[in-house]
Amino acid sequence: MTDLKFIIWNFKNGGMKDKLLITLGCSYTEGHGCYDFSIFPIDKNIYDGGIDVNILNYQKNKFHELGWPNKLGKKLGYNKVLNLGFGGSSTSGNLKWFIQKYNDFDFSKYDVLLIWWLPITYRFSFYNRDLIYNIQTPIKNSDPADYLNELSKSYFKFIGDIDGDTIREQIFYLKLMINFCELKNINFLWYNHDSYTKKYFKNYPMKYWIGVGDELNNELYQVNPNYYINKSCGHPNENGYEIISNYFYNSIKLNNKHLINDSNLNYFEWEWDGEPQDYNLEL
Amino acid sequence: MKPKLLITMGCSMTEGVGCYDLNNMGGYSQYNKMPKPYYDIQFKNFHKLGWPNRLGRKLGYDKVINLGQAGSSASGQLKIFYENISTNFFEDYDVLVFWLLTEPSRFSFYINGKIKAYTLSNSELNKMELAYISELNDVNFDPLLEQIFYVKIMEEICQNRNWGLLTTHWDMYIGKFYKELYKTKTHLTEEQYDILSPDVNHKSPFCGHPNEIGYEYISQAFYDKIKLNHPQYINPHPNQNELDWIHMGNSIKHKKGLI
Repeated sequence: MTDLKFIIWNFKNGGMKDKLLITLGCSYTEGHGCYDFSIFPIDKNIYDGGIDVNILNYQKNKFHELGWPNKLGKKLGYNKVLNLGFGGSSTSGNLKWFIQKYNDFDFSKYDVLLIWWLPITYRFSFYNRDLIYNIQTPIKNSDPADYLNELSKSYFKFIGDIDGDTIREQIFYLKLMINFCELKNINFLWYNHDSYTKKYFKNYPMKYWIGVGDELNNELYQVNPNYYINKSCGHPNENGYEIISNYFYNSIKLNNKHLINDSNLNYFEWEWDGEPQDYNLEL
Repeated sequence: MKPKLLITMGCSMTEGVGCYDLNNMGGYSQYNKMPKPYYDIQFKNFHKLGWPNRLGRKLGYDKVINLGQAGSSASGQLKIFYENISTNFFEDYDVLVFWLLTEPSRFSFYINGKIKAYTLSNSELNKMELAYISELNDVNFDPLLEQIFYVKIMEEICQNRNWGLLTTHWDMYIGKFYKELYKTKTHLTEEQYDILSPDVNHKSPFCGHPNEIGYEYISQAFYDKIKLNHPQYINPHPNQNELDWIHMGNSIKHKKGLI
């Protein structure tokens, strides 16, 4: 929306701000799994290698278009979705990218809701070659390459309490994000679908929990996985992301109704900006 | 007027390592080789005589909370802050946080429920540290980006709480690079200066850290720079009573299953 259009629309709407949904997380937030199988083998996924770059980009664009962030943004009545989900990313990596890119962003012209689908806790991150570099500890559902990474192998060797220690890290970064959102008057909710974290939930800042528990995982993976899950990669397909956005919406309606926009939308736009870029500092 | 609180963050330089109690060395020359009774005595001395309490007095503050921990990293220092005092907003105080930044290549993880620091400056590196070095493209630049990330976060935390924040580096070379990379109002000085005294008598012969005279030199320079660049942090009505101070730089050992 151009500035002039925004001013006119803003005037007509009695000074109400546009509604911006920011989503942060890993592949589940990036929308991995929403393939257009009309031009892609049904038993393949983008990690298989040897895929034409145009097809790869087309499929990724489908992920971004059809994942839960846009579906939820529309249900909530928001004008804009900024999706920062990035496949393979870690909790600390998510926060680093958000701070690197949006620390100085002027959020004041929007009513902002930020939803962070926390990545699996076993990942961590460092800056490397000016980029945020996410590393997966070789433990559960790991890519074979993770077993070759010396840093991830060493981390796994050193760590004593793989669940507890990595969850402590996650909670630390989650609290940092909460501080940021409180300062910037950003509404904030988080979600975590990893079952091993549940027994530690009493240590998480539950005030900001989205309110969706095991019932979503049960529906996706137990009730009708053939309908909701893409077998080629294990992520939800478009049906899966639809049900995810429904669960999120219903929970927000129940627990945070003030975050839903009942006014008519005059426009809806979305952007994916999940891939960390060079720091690009001027020296 | 509210009383003034100085919170200090950093590594051994902030913990006060180097201010040895020479009457209680137990025949040892370094604190990290000493058995517990002597070790505890030395650390009490470090905490009492380092730059944080000296600066607190010069600024006319009422209380100092020193979160310095020897060997810690920027991320570890922020974790210590979160563990030990983040739930207290100190609304009854005017708060200034002074973060003396350490080597940016240090990093931290929770290991067995406790914050563990990894440092690349040890003579013998463990596998984790070696792996980090081997992964890094540039041991100067990339770790500084990490450090800047944590400083930005701390700036947000302090802004959220209406606290003051000042940062500087104890390493002249890294500090210069840091200030070239990141422009912010929270720098103690626009240009990096060497915070360490060139006088060999200002250093501990045991570990090379500043001794009492060295920390006095550091705190005086900090005070002078604050007076010059950030005079709003000097208490116009200095505390006339004895300084209330506490060291809270140790990581909590979390029980398994508890954060």
